Amino acid sequence: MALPKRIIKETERLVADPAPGITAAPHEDNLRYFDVTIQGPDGSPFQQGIFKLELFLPEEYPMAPPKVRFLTKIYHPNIDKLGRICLDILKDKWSPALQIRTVLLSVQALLSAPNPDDPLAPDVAKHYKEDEKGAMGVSREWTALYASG
Amino acid sequence: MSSDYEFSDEEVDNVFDDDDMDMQDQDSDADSGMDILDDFKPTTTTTRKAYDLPYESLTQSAVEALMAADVEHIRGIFGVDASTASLLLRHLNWNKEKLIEKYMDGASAMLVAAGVTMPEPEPAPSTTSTRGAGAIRRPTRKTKQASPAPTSKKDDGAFVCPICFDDTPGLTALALDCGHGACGACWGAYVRAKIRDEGEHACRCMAEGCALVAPDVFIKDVLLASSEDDAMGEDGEGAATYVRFQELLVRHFVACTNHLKFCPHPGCTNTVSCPGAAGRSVLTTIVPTVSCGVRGVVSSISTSSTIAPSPAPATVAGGKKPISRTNSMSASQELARGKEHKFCFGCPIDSDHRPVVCGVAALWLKKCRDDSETANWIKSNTKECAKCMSTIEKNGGCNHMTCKKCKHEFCWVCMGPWSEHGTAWYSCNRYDEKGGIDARDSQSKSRASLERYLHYYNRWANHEQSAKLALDLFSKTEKKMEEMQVTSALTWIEVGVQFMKKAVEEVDKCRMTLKWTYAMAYYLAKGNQKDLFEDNQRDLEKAVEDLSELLESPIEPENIPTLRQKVTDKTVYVQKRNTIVLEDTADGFLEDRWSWNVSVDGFDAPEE
Repeated sequence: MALPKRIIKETERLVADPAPGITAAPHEDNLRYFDVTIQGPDGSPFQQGIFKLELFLPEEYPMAPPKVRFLTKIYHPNIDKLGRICLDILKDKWSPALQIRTVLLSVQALLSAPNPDDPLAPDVAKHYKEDEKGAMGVSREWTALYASG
Repeated sequence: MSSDYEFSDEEVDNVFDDDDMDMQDQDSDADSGMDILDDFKPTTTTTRKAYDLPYESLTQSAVEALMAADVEHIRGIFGVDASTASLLLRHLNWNKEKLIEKYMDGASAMLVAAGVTMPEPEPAPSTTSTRGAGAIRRPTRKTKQASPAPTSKKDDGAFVCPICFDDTPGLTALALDCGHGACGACWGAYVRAKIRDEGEHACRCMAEGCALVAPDVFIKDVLLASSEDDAMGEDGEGAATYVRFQELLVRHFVACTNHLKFCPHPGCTNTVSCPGAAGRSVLTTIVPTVSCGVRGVVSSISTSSTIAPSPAPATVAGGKKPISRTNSMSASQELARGKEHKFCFGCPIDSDHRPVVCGVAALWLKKCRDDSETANWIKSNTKECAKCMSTIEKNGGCNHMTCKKCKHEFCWVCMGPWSEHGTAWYSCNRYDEKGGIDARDSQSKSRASLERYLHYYNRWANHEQSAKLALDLFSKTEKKMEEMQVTSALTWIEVGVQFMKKAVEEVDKCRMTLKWTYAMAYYLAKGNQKDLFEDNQRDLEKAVEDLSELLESPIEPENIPTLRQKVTDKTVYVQKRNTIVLEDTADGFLEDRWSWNVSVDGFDAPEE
């Protein structure tokens, strides 16, 4: 099936005018599958990390949200060990007006603002709630260990 | 009008008696809606037994009439239009009191939360272009706004759909009151995805964070327009989706209303109203078995909201004509296909589980799911060590067993200690030895509870199995009788098939009762009451087995008249016994006569 105009335009714009700290490039053989990198935001324990993600646009896109997953290991209360992300706009709060760019910016924002009250990785969330300093230390360690390039 | 309106919640009526007075005049324009309602007055059931709760079956349009009445009520009080009233009601799960209270506290906050912009008299879907429409952004409770929204206008003023980026000249934008425009095709695809894929009845505006909900008229327009569009798929799909939308609304209403329950049979769209069983507390005293009134399998392909019941038994006119298979369903087909949609109003069991109450039935089903297969396997494949009672599986080797846990050595065959076996190692002929008897005794004690459970379970399962077999047998018998009818030109056999059918139906019904009496007996505490219960159970079981046997007796043209007499007599007797069991148990629940050997929700804990 031909690629919808929406996806073509979005891809063009992502390449021509990338959001700061974010890259997204489609696979040549599958234009719905994107390799993504997100820079850890300054001031967060993920600072200076480069995190790899994969993003897939399902057949129903944009009526259904894209599927996004971290490929790089990350110590974050809303991201589990399989890289799945707990983010409302990727689920019930999805709106067809959102785009790949906005989704990735939201993911980046999630790195700055972990939400241990709505955890996907309960052990990490518990750590974050009980000893935020220590938990952020582990996040920093993991960033250095797995996301330093 | 609305005060004698019989389905409405009594409490609400009492609270708003004053309002009802005011509404009298306003109701005149709603009369057409009320007329529809009159067509759904209870289809008077035949003789109702004491243990049957009054209930009535409603079609989808009857439920829609109930919804319309609620909407009308709110519309009258708030002075808003019907669309707004129904969005408000849906938002608060059709809880009128809560809605009125909240609305009085703060109407505008309520309207925003429900996805209605403002309480204007006619906020009908505005199909205005984004140009000119002042895009008012509603207050949002959204997450981070990541990037500026895509421009929906080019510099030259032509509309570009922000969803599909279509910039075809002349493309018009559709928007709700918020003014977030998108092209018709995108709206169609969006609404369809919401309704079809997500089963969602509230379609919010597509713009990120905009909480405005599309009114029904807007949804209808968008869906019907998208049907005409070739790209949107086959013709009529939009209409079908709109039907689905209406069904979702009805389901939501029914789910929110205590005295309504949707028929759980696949493809059936009927609803049952049973005010007597609304609320969990009554479920310890009654078993609210209801039927939606439809018989048989409803085609799930059918999208029409009215489902015609399958045809009544065809009466063959013209005396001698043999049953023609082309225009009348054979009685056995009818039996298998035409089973009434019976279900329990109080719990998820989709069949009649009388006489036992929901709580006990649920306990029993859970136990069966967890236990029966495992218990059967344990019973047939394992034994317990006579000394430490560990469960042991013998998976090969000789009969000389050594318990892994306590090192007790024993013989698998007689369970006696191995030391008594001397040199006869590979065969055990020492059955009468004392050691062996003791070991078997203790073994049997530890097995008693398992045996007890299996006793009840096997009988429970057996009745279900037998009921199915009876149906199979009947279809064979029926065929035979029809053949005889053709060959011997005996016209009265047509009537004969009817008596067989009646008997089989009765057997089926009674076996369901018997089945659940075993679940009940398993949990009944020992005592006189249980003895009496089991006496009734035994009488019914005996009668049912006798009738089953009669049904299996060979059929020859000569013996049909006597057989018919016997079967008819027995059917009547069985019917009576069944009524006795059901009535006595139901009375027992009302009198709080039954006590259980386990703790059951809503009952006192067992003594001991």
